[in-house]
Amino acid sequence: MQIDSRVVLRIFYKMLKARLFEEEASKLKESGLIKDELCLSLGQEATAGAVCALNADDIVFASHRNFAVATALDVNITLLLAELTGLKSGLCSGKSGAQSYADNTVNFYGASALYASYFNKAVGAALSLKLQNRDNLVIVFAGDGAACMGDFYEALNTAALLKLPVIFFIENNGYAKSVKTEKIHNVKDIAQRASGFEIPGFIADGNDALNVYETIKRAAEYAKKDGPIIIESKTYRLAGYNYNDEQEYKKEDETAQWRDYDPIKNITDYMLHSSMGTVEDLLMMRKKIEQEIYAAHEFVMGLINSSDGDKEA
Amino acid sequence: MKYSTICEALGAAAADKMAKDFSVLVLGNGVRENGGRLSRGLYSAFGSQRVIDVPPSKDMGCALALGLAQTGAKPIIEIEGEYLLRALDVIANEIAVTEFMYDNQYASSVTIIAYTGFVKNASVQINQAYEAMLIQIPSLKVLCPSNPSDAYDFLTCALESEGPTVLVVEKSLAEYDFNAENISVTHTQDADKPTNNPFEAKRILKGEDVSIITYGSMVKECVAAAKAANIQKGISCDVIDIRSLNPIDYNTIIKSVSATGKVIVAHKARRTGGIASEIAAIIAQSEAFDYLEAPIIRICANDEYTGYADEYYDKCVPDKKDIYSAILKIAE
Repeated sequence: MQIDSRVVLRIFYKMLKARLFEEEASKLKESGLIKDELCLSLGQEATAGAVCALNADDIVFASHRNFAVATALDVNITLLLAELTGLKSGLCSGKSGAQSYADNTVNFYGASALYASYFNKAVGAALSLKLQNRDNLVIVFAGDGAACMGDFYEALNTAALLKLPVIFFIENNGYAKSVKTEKIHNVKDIAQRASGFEIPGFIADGNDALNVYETIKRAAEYAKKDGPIIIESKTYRLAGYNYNDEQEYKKEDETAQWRDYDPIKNITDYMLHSSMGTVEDLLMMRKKIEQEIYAAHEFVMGLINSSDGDKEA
Repeated sequence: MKYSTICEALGAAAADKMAKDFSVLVLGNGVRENGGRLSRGLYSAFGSQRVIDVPPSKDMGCALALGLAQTGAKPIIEIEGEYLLRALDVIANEIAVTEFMYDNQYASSVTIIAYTGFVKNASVQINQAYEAMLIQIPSLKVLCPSNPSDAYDFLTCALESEGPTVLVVEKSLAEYDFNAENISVTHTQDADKPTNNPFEAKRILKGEDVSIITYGSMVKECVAAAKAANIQKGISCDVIDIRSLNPIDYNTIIKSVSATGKVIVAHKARRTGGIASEIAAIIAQSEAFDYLEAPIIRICANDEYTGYADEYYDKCVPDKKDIYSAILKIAE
């Protein structure tokens, strides 16, 4: 599949936005203005490729590690940053924080702080689509840790039984908290779990956003016609479990190897090699994102520093 | 009475609502074969798009219901009480928090009917009465009908209101034939209030000497005991059915207790940390405290398990005899 250059640029833009947003959030965490745990998508930004493969009316659920999904969905980053800093003018009025927010303007049905709690909600939403004869689908973004839990298998069983349009997108980032994935799953590939439910399961290169995009495009076509499908996106969590995680359990050369295979570096190389853009083009895009984030930063800091706070917001 | 059992009333309320509101659905295991209690007959009337058979896991079923509700449906799901604790994670951590956590961006109008409470000759794990756990969950509406007419109105109200509701239906009451017994547990409708608001406590019997605050299957036990105490000892009891366990209508309770000065709080669920404890605490904190002429009496199940053989149930779960003794004691 030859991916249209405009789509590639869009994916690149969203991936870079995820990373720069997380850098900004990290600074605010460092300065104490964000008090919630930050579970970064750092290294997993190729997930934006999956979001770009969806239609606008598709329904999205996500886990606690959700910033790459949210930014790719075009959740308003000013409101998100305000939410993370606990402001009344935040996306959910400061009620939910970093791990469990929603945005109905972009069909983001919600992130949930509790492992695996989203799988069956996603199946319920898919059941609703089927009952209404709608032509869209539900995608649920979850990690390898959540895919160990009973809810995942109950969700697969029900979705398979009722042939519901759901994509189970499992981001296998190598770790569940500090434990390696192979210590919590008795199969090499989580995609293999699909066979027990007689549904398809495929693996995508989770650091190759274009491969993720293509895989989800095909998966979406399948899901709408024939029912649920598992996509295991093999990637690597460059970040800690949360911001305070020192990651002493990781080997240094392991992280270094994955840094060489960084998803943003990969798509940048592809764009430059295939002459989809020049270095100047890419820097211009970066500048645009930086401006957007700067504006969000200024908005949030303005509220924090103003004497009335944002009580009336 | 129009409906002789609570289940019959629930089925009628669901059918009436489903005929008018196409977003109302019934989810459950075996609903197609009429395996649910309320869903009897609904499948043949509304078909597989409205009465939906799903696998038996109740936590999964509740999460499914929430996913449906987030897209605008109003699902009803039935849970046998022994699986309520499995579902409780989804009820507390997902369904009840959705409105608050997502700042009202998504609906969560799920109606859960939990068949719970102690029955004779059931195995230990089947015998559970954990409604007190539900009232610890903020914003979750918890209603407990004591009669078919209320059951009809409560389910109708749940399907018309925003946010989730749990109907706690006691197993001992679900199929109880109210028309066959000569005990009236229904209140008379106030002429100036044409609608039956489930969140208002109702006076079942009017009296001056002792207040009896109760709900669910204990209502008919309290009415029987109060009538006996009146006939045999001339003691008159003010029997109040609180109906809604969350929120609780404290004003009605406080008013009654302030007038009588003596109060018995009664339910069939266990005593420690039970709903009676909460009601007693509220009375003690309110202006009614100044009117109390005797210590508050709680009549509840003992803090032990109800086993299979008759004696375990009889020893553990209170009935009208216990209420009668309590009335005589407190009225002394």
